[in-house]
Amino acid sequence: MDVVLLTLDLKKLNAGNGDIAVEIWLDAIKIFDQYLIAQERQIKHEYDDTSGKHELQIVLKDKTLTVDHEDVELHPMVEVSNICLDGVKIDNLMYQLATYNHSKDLRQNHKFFGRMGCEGTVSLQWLSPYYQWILEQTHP
Amino acid sequence: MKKPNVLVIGDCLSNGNNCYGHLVYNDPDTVLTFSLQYHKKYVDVAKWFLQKRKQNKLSDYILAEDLANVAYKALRAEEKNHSWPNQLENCNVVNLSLNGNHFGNYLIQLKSFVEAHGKPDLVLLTDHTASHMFVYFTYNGSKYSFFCEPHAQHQVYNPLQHKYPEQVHDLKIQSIKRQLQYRDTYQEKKCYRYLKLIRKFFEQQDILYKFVLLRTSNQKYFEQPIDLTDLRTKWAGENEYQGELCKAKYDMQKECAKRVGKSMWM
Repeated sequence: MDVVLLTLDLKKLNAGNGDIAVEIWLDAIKIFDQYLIAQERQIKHEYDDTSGKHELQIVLKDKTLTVDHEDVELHPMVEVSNICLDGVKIDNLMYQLATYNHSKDLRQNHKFFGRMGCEGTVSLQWLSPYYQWILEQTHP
Repeated sequence: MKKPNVLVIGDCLSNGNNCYGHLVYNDPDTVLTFSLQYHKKYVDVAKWFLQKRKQNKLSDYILAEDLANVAYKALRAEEKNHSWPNQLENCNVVNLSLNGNHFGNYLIQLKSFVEAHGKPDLVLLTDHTASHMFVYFTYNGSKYSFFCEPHAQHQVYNPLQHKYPEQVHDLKIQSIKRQLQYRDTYQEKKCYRYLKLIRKFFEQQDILYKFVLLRTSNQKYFEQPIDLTDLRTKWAGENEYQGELCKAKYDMQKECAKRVGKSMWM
């Protein structure tokens, strides 16, 4: 069995006192589901890379707004970075290939550029072995 | 006591090229021609590299877009580290051997090394594959030199890969094509010419040198070389296009180093 370590960093931005929660799914298995309280959080998860297709889904949910002392709304956001498969950082591939579907927006398939402010799901699919998929994307 | 400085210049027979092939493919019978980079075997190299990283528990990041280059560089660094020059004992070795190298480029490497670092205590020069070519010309007041195989005549200009103007690339291709039209003895004569210049440079600079012979067909170029031809037959035949038996090449590097080590100061 080829076990691959998926890692990624989550960071809560523009927080105020607003809540924000994140779910992370890999191949339809939930590997993380929490409100982000701490500013930064690293997620680690091992998966079996022997089967064909894999899908990472990052879901932003339960977002609440707060207002500052000047009555300006504060939108909490989540920065997702250092997305790695066995230490190979695929952030740029996420920006190119991932889709970001907003829950309250009929226009779908937005691009993802590292930050999630709207509730919704960022999805990326790849094929195993992951290094072959990476090389096919980076050296077509 | 200070260790002597030894400079080694050669081609793929002194830089460990392909000697990790059996480890990349996990097959003791692996035979490779040219190099894994030439055959664009980046997936195989990346697999080897990532497994090795995992074993060593390395936690630094590699950008996905750098994976192919980082993996290949790591492979070549390990292969070079295992090459016979790098296993020579009781001396500080600088190994400038390059795939596809040619006596013409040896001279350039030699002169620039001496200019930058002073005279080494000993220089070891190997023979090179007969098909290697050398192109040298001046364009717009700048000197350009290239060493290559004949198939480079089909190379298409790529500004990201080739760090010189397209006109220079065109001149290079023209020169390769022209050289390939000459008689077979042309390349041989060219080798003799550059060897003469190399010997002259050694004499002028009063630098101790030795030739190391790896291919029987190149015997004609050297007098009293350190002869490794019998060891090389363990991993390759005289026809280099038939490839190298990687594990045998890996295993024989130590033996080559021992033999060179015994003779290089004599």
